[in-house]
Amino acid sequence: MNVLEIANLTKSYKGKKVIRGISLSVGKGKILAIIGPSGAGKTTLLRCASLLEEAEDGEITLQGETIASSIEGKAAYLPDKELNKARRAIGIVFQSYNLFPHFSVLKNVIDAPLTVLKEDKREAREKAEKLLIMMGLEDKMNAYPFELSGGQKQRVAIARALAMGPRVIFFDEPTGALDPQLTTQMSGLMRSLADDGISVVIVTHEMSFARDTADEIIFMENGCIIEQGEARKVIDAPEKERTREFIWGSGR
Amino acid sequence: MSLSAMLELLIRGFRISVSIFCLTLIFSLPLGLLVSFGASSSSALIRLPIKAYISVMRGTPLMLQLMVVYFGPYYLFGLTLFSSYRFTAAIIGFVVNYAAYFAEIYRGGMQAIPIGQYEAAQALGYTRSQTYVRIVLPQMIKTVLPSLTNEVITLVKDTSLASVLAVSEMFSSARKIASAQTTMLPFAFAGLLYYIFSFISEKIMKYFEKSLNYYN
Repeated sequence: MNVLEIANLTKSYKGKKVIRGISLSVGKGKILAIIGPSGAGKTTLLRCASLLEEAEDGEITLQGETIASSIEGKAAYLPDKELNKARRAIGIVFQSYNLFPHFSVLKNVIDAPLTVLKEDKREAREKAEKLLIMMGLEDKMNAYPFELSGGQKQRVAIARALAMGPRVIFFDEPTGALDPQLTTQMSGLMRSLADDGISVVIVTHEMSFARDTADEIIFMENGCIIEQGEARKVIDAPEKERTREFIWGSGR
Repeated sequence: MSLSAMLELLIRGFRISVSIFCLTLIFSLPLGLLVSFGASSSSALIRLPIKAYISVMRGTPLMLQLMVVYFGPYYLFGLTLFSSYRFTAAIIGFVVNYAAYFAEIYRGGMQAIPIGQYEAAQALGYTRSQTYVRIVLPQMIKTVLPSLTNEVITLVKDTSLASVLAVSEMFSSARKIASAQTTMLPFAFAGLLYYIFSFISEKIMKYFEKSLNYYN
């Protein structure tokens, strides 16, 4: 069963169509990378798919549950309360991390499980500590976000998302602030999430990162999918002329 | 009149100034928050009257507003006024006026919170009220504290405006003694006490500001 399915999604900003009928699906424990030039609509697609923003039209299914269905050319979403519940299956690691500056690292990770999921305090704490150790942040648990480097903040954001037990986790430009070594580590981390059965969706313009990390790649431009397929195949031997232009133009 | 008798009268007035100050803050700080929510309501039926209220409160003299609150019930509804209403009227006037200023300060503080904070909270499944209480308000308080300090110090001195309703706070007491004894000395003492009062208020506010300096 696919964890996330999207069909015929459209979205406009101020009358301009940004997403023009996109369909995609993400399998359990699979990594999907969305690539494409700036302004292709990648981030908008990610925001709609992760339920941060409502699509104009289209269908969204999460773990078999219909989140949005297309009714008379409009996307009809679940009521707010159920939508909020459905969001628990979704984790988002924002490009600028969006950590809570007034919370310590540990509190950033522990607060949502306590407040939203009403988890037991001791259990939540143990789980958060485990996640932070996994992220190599054991000596930063009591630090505040402003004391951390970009890479560290990103790992707190990942731990914060994972603490909610998501089935799919979205990354918006995860390598933007990382050096080559950290980028390789990030790739390994995403792989191990996928091995644990968590699906991963990445928006990136780093071709080699997408190629080495993802199972599947979608190349999009102007709000449409131009090409999609197995990651290595799309990057190493693209079928469409436009994909070739973009990937070779990027120096690969 | 002996110096100690004079001081005793002034200090009795000072106590009333302090109660006006405390009561005003206790009621207007939370009321301002409600007003700021109303001022950013999506319903025009709530938003527009509240905006008008803020505009009038900021655009007319506080002294005049105090007089409206005190004399209004008589001139508008023909109610008999008891002199015990003076103090209550002063408190109502101060609270309603300061709530308007605080609301504007809170609104600015809310706007300074990056949209990403709301989105992160939404992605984690926080409800709207959880987002406000846990994420937005604590950060907003930190941003607005310096502006609140300003208002709090202004309020220390504004309490003297209650003299227009013949509330016997420190400024009225000083004026009464001064005219009876033909000396300016009570004003000098009152000035000194106002200064000490605002100095201490400022120190307390700075302490709050400092206690929120653990993050950037």
